[in-house]
Amino acid sequence: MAGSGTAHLRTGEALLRADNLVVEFGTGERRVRAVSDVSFDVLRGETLGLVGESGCGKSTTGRAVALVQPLKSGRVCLEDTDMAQIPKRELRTARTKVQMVFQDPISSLNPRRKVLDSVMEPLAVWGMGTKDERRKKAGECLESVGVDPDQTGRRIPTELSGGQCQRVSIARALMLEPKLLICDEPVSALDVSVQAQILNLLQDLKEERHLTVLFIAHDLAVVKNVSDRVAVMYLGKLCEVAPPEELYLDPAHPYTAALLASIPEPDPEVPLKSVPLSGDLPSPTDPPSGCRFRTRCPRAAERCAVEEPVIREVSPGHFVACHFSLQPSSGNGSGDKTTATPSPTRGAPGEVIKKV
Amino acid sequence: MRLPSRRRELEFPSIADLEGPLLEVEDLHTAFHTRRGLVRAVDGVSFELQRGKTLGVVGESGSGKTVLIRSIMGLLPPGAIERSGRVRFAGRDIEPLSARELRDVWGTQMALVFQDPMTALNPVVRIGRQITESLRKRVGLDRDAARETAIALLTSVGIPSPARRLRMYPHELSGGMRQRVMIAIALACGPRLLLADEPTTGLDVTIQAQILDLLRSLQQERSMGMILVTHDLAVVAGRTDEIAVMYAGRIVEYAATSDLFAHTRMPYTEALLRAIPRLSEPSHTRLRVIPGRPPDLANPPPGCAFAPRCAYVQERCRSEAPPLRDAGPTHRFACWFPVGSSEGANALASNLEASLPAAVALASAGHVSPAPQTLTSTGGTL
Repeated sequence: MAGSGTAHLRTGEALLRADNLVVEFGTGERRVRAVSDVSFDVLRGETLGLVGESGCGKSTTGRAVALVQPLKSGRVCLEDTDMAQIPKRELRTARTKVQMVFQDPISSLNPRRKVLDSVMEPLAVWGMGTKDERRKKAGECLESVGVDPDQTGRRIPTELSGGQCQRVSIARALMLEPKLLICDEPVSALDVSVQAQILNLLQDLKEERHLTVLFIAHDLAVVKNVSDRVAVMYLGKLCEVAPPEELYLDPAHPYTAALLASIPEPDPEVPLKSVPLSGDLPSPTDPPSGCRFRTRCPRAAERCAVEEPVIREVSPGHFVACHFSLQPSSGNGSGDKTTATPSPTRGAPGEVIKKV
Repeated sequence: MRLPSRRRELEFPSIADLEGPLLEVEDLHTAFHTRRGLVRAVDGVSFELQRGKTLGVVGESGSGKTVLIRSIMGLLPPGAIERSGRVRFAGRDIEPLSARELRDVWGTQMALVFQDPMTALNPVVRIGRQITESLRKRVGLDRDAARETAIALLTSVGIPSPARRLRMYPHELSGGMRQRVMIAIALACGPRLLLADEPTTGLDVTIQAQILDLLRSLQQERSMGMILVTHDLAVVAGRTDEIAVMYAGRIVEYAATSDLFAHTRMPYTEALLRAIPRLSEPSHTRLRVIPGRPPDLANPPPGCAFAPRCAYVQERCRSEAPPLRDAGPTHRFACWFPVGSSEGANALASNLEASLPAAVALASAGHVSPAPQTLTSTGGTL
């Protein structure tokens, strides 16, 4: 599986393009490539879901795209402008177009400040408007997220629930009227009923304000609910990119299939699947050669250790980085699979885990 | 080889001799004195657990599920706490026991797997010692025997290279590994009852599946009773025998697992099931939210605690709290206008007409529901 390859990039009007991003932490032997040659694009008005487990690099990618994480190499283009090439002053302005909402709602707000003040802050930083104008705008943003500015605005984050804090964070992110909203695990810390409220809210705001969204999460069901397109990451690389329906019905990458099979269904009649993925994540300082997923992959063969797979199209709009990808069933519904990619000779074809 | 004990240890009947339930909880109340008033975290909870069975306790933040577990074990923090009710373990009342006496219960009879291993494990003590500590003090093993047992335990929880891991510190292990270590510590002294408080929250979904399978197989191997506390209905769906749904400190519905999903009675349970985004749904499906927030436990509203957010609410609900009543031999619920009944259907219909937000949210379109509900919004009955 590789981030190498750009077959999945489109020619449409991309608000955001990330080209061959590489982010490294640490030095010498302890160096970690958190993001290893990842490219993707997000079209205007689209929601791209970036999904993966701990250590896959999705949050780092989000921060890189938000221009708060320095890159080792690669580039980030907002509205066709390379962010590394523009003068500093223009970069400052460009940053306002991109805003982030973070995972832990309570700790992403200043615990000693009233939330109304926290929401007003972005405008204050930019010296926009008078205090009254800022207060007014903050009040409007808070109302648009369902928070009462007079009652709740006066409180500090520790006096609010997780859901309320997350609404406040979203309000704060909206203050500078961004074009791109990057949500990094915005609902993982919230209860189910609150999560539903926040997800619906994000959908409403996206429509009202014509936002483009990069939605980063580990919960596949949540990501499916909000996304127009989904990209799966593993250990710093992209595995698969596809529209949500296809990804979930017909995963092409064994890792995606394993992830899907691990999700518990809230229905006791659905039989539990045997755990398809054994072992733990390999060390990020010393990732496996070739395809990084091969140490846990039921389909791994010799080629996987030697050659890193390049991302390629397996069906319209559906891209995968795998030498032995699970083939999507042909569209005529007969259920037989095209076998353009041969199964590996060594070992069983592995568990082909399909959602009916 | 047992170390001589200075006082007589509490005796419990062996599992084989056990006749009644493994655990009985009767009208348990636990309240905290806070600046805002008396917070009734657990407000009259009763249930029984048979040996070898798994009970899922499901609830959101503030439902009281964590306090319930700690109260059952007697693991409450010191301070202004009011606790009443009975807790019987293997036929013996344990709630009047002092902390000293409870030490004979913790670990050897009942054990708790905590939610966040990083905070529950001692960061400056090697894993090995954290496991062998209880083996040496409680079971009285010598150093070598304890070490052998620790290695066997780590193997049984699926940790590779266990001998090497004994020398590691918690931060050197991944989240999934740490949770396995927590489970090993909990099982070290061979408890009969395992209480797991959100054991997989925060873990990746593939690791979550492994840990849950592990708990289930260990439970079956050792014929333990297990209580699995979680906010995630999906986690309990396939892995429990019975489920208790908690809201504002009380059990609002209690049923055999398949019953709970197939014949949901309590509107809160139904609303929770509907609020979960499902893989089987198309993307951009409007989620059916539960408007509002859980009540302030220091100032709960009169009547049913869920009334302010309920799609079926009627006048009676706001003044009179419904008692738990039976819907079958193992199905109890607390509601005046339950799901699947004609009263419930009429209540929902009239609320929809009045455009009550909760009713509108529940009935909102755009969702081909896979949840096996039998109520329709036009008033059909079960």
